Amino acid sequence: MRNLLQLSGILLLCTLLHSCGLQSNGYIYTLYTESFVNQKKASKKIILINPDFKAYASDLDEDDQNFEKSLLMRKTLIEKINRYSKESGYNYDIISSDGKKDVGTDFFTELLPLRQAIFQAISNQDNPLNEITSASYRRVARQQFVVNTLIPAEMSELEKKYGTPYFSILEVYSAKNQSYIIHIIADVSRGVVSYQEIKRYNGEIKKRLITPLIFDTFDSLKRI
Amino acid sequence: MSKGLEGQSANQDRFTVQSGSLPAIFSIDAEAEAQSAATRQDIIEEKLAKSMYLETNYQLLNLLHSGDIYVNDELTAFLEKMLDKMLQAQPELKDQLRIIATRNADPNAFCLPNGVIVVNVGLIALLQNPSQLASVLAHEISHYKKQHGLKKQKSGKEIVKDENLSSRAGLYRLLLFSREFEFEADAAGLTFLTRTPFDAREASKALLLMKAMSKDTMTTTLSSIFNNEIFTVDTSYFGRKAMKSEMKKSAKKTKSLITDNEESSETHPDIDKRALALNEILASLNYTPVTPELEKEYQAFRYKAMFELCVNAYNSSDYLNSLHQAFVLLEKEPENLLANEMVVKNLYWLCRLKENGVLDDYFDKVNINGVVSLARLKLFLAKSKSPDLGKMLYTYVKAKNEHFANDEDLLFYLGLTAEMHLGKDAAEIQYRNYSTKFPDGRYSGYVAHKLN
Repeated sequence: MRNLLQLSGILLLCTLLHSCGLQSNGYIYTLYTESFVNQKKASKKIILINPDFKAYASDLDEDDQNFEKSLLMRKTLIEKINRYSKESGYNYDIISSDGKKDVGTDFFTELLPLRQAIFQAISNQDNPLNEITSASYRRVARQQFVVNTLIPAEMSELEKKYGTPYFSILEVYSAKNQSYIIHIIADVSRGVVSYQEIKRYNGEIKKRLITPLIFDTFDSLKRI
Repeated sequence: MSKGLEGQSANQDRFTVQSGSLPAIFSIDAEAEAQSAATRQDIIEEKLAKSMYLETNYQLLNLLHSGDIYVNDELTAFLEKMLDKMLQAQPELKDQLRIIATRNADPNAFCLPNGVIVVNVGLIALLQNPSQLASVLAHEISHYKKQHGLKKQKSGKEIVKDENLSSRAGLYRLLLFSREFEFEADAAGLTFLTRTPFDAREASKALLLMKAMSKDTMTTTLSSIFNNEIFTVDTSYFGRKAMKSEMKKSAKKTKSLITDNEESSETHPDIDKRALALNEILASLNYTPVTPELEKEYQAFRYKAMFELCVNAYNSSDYLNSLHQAFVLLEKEPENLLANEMVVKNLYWLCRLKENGVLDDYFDKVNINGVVSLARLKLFLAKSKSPDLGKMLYTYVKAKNEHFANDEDLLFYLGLTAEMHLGKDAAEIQYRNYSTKFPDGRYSGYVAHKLN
């Protein structure tokens, strides 16, 4: 009887620790379209629009942003993206506006509006049909989009100019108690979001965490 | 047939043209510029000034790289011209100032402590003449000349140091300083304006226009736009009760930090008071009005800004506001192709959201700012059934496509709309029409997927 009580005590402790661990790790979920899975091998070039790291002092609030830290972390983020995207077999072409690369005004008139349209599509996708109902929300959940997320058809002309229909966003938002890593790929030729991975980490993303998180981001993409 | 104003190419959706490489301001060295500006000032200690300038420079870089800024375009060029006219007698000051235009629809402008004046396109679309815009610029220039940014830092630091002051009282005092600076900038701006080739009497009118910004600008009824032989707008949607509830929802619930509905909680003084003060000051200046410069050019500049509001809202997927703005433009120029296209495009995407069952969620995020015609449009779209909207849209696009024969965008949207309302087979005919007429058109990739 005593052993049984001890065992149940240990089990309870383990359960508590396990749930605490899950709480501190946050969650990951990934959604993708069938056409992306079927066609991604044909076109491996992906234009990555302005990868960004936004570091906030306490909350995810624009007024609370630590600009110096954001710039430093952004550099590390781009280094890791360059490294792990290659390892995943994709050709990520980064186009950013840091002023050091030769970025023309097209970046502002074409790519940033596309970024905005992609985020809007994601926002409109909070659709009962696409909702994740899985109870194991904190574990890796994979599901295909049920209703396509829509991007205005005007964006389809970018395929000709950039030589690929795939355009991506990879952004990190990090605050004291919660951080998000967002990786989205849109197929402008179909006007849909093809792939979407959102990670939440219940803590601040420090420099040493960027490597495993970005490795995992591209590993997830490789595995679908 | 015009797609916009002169200079608008046949296939260009965005009204202003941006081309060339990025201006030098995009690659400023935030650290070095902050150090240099901090050394030049003598209002607060250098370390504090540097930290303020550094923050400002980072905010500026963030804004510049956000995509919300116009570069190498007609709007910025006109603003620069205005600044040149105003500061022709003060070339040294002109060298310290830079001006940029943003895509923001709020009727507002501000000046950063480093001399960058930011003007929202919403303000340009609102103000009726160059003198009104000059008065806003004069106000912002005065903030810079009087170094209000640094002075706010100084008073903020003194308040923090004062241990006897509660945080509530400290905030109250900060807001008081802020309002004093506004009055000071108004007075100095007006005096400065009287020495420029613009009419200083317009300063108070500009302020009052900004206050009345929610005034309704669309007069056409939805029935006159959409009614035809097979579709009739159900006007029972706009009953008094429904409209009242819609307007109530949009009423701004501003939560005051100190007290509700009191000026003491605002950073800016009451606009009526400011307008009155401006008139009093002007009367004491024995001002002789001048014939303002740039009057003719301003109207074209303002019209461009009104189109920009419509296109920007569409590009930000703010379809409801963009649709409303397109109707406002059509009232001025019913035959304008771009405005007609914007109606079709916005309606199509709103119908798609409706079809996907997310229109209500989308509308929850849209602010109608107390505009009655916008509320009416929202109610109509929210209450109409999806198949009815599809039918209305299809007949509307078909009529526009016939009216503006050979327009690429309208033909493509006829295909999309036919797909939504009549199914894939009917849409295929329109897509094939498009492919034949525009084999290398901007939607050819999209259409190819639809046909496969």
